[in-house]
Amino acid sequence: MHGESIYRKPLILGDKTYNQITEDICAPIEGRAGKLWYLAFTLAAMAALWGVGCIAYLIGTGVGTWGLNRTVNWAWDITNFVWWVGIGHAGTLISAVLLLFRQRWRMAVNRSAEAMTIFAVVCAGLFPLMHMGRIWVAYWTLPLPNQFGSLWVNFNSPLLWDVFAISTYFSVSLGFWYTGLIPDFATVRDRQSIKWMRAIYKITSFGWSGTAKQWQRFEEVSLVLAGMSTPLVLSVHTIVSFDFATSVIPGWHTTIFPPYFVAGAIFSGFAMVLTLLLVMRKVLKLEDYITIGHVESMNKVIITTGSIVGVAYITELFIAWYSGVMYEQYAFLNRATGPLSWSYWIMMTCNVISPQLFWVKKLRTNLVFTFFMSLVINLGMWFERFVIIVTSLHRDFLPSSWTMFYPTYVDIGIFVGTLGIFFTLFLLFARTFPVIAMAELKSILKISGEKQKEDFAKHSHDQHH
Amino acid sequence: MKYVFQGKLKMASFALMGIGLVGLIVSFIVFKDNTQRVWANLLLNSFFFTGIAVAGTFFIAVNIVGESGWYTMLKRIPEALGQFTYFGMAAILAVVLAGVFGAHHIYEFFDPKVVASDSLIQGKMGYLNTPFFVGRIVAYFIIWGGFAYLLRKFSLQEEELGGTFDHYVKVRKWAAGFLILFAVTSSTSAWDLLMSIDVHWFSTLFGWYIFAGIFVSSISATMLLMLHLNKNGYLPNLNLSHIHDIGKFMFAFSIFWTYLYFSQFILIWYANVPEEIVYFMERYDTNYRPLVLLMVVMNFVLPLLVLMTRDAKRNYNLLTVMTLLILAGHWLDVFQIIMPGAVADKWGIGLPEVSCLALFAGLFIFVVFTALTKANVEPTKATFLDESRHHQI
Repeated sequence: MHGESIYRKPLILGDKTYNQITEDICAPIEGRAGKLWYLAFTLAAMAALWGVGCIAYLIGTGVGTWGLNRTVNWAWDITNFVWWVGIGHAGTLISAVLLLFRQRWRMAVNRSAEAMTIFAVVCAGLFPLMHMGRIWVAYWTLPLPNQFGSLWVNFNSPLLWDVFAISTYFSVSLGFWYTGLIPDFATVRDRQSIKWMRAIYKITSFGWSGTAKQWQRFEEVSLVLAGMSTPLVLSVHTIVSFDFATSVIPGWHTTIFPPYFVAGAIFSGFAMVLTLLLVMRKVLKLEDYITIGHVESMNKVIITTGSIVGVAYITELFIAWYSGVMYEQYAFLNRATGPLSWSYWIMMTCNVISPQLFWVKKLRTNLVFTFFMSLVINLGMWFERFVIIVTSLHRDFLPSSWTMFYPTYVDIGIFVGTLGIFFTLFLLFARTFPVIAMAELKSILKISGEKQKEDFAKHSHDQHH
Repeated sequence: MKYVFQGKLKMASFALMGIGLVGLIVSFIVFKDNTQRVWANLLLNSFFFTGIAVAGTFFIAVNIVGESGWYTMLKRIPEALGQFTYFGMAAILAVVLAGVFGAHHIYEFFDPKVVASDSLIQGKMGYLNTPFFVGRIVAYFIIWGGFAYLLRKFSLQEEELGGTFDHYVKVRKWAAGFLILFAVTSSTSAWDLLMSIDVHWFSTLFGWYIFAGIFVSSISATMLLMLHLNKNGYLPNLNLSHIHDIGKFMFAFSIFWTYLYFSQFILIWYANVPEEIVYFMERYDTNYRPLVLLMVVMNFVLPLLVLMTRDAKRNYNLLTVMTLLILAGHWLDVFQIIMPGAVADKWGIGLPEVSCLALFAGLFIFVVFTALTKANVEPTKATFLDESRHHQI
């Protein structure tokens, strides 16, 4: 294997050996959790419980407990759904698309990004289920024959395409993530001294013994799953955008939606990855693996996708004017100056203006600033969906139908609840799973380790003289 | 080793230009009742080849900003493609100015009488008025031409400076600047030069759809040149991995182009709003339909099926066929964008089409290969050259 350019920064800092990597990454699983973890877990679990309570109340009482009305008949539910699905995109992008572009830095972050993807899709999946009102007939969304007592599903509906898109995405992401985990689980199993834990890891590692044949099959499966994931990254949010863009509502019906939703999804997904990883690298002492260089690379993805989103906003605004369609023009005028304009300006500031600060190298390599920005972007992307959905709806074609939207405590409770579920799952993950893909990371130690790079440079220097 | 531009290829480029020029003059005489068709062909080819050129500069800029190493070996090729920008933009400017002075009516809004009778166009005149419109075309000329020149100049400097990292950091700033400007101008130029032909129609996705088309055309042109240069011994250290990677780009961006074409189509078809659907009715319910369907087969179905396997992306002959197919397919794409608005059902593939294509192809070959004679085809010094020499996938 040939070394990489001396100009590239090392991806693994310090003088690490294969064993040291195993020790560092298994430490959180084998050690005891700190007070901070218990505090965070308690808070997250309480939020999750509140959410579960609100969901139970919603299902028992009906969708009327939400703040919806006849004009604004879609609001926080679908906003949260799209927000969570969007966040899920970073994991697949990192594991599939960055793999195709041979970005080695992905290896330190792919495991947790994929875990985040799965947890985010779990949270997203709750909303269509709740929205049915009658969750016990959820199976009606599947194309079952008429003998089951219902009619065939409406294949013309983008909402049905959503069911297929999201469930495919979830299955493939889960398969991809789990495949990668198998060798790492085996490593944890072999080091585990507590009997019952050893037994659990024995099951989860599927009897992995690391033979050449197993590795060969592992590589093949990974490649096939990566190939399947790549079109899925595009398809999922494309279908989500179709939920709006196939309609004739001004502000929803616009052709740029599919690629712009995908870019926005990746944008918010990377923000959430940063929110999680900046805390995780500190608490689990993984600073040597998730370096400032990694954070900088992710911030560059954020500038790129944020700018794509910005270009899309401006394009929409321009074409609304250019089209000469008065309804279209009013929809955008109302967004910028109407009663909900505050949400529009939050969206513009958080998504278009603030990511541009990352052009400054000092800011994109500053961890505190990056953490703050990751929260700002998550907020901005939530408001993007809110602006698209609520402001487009609340000014109906007939002015007599114009209304406002106010969330109820159930709306808020369910949103906070999904945040709780998400963080509960992630905190459990951080304690029980190898949070960095050990086996994969070891494959780049010789090329990208700090010490190894220094030795290589010295060695090739000697050869020349 | 510098490229030696001689023999059959040089003859062919002169022959194409000569035949094209004569054919063009004859076309203006023969089609004197429909000169619009000849002008539309001039616009089509000047846009198509300028697109290849400016997307070449874009490819260079993206690779610099992304700190990619593997492409270093072949960077002279997109740089050379970029050198056509000056000529292509001059041709576009000439076609636009001809419209301003009334030689053709491809851009209806240049005609005050048409504007006076059409309230929809009046609403757009804040953007489409002649000074602003022509000013934008000049701005594209300066920006795209300027960066094609600058990024190549910086790249050639590496041959003397030895590819230091400081130089790289400096160039990266310029490349990032180009990406920002191109993010805006790629969309606005598509609205100006192509979308405004169907002046009543609008689509927010249009700019990105055009971008995908010019990018995949440019990548295909890069592949074609790379294979030619490699066969003739100008890229001694190029290996199958480089070819495979450019092949992946051809495959992926063919699908990406289809994704955008289809997204635009299905959203308009599904919503069926009269002022939008008319665009596709002009293309599917008229004599353009076979052409549009053929274009989709050439740009999507065949690249998808043929380029899927690893072996296909490493096969010289197959790749040569596929690059020509994709280039022809995207030429047809621009054809079906321009012609319905410009000449309605009075289109054809005849003397004006063949001679305009010959003229521009000849000029393009001449300009690009001349640029390749000016510097070592394979860089001898560059920042990540060593990585590119040992590229292995």
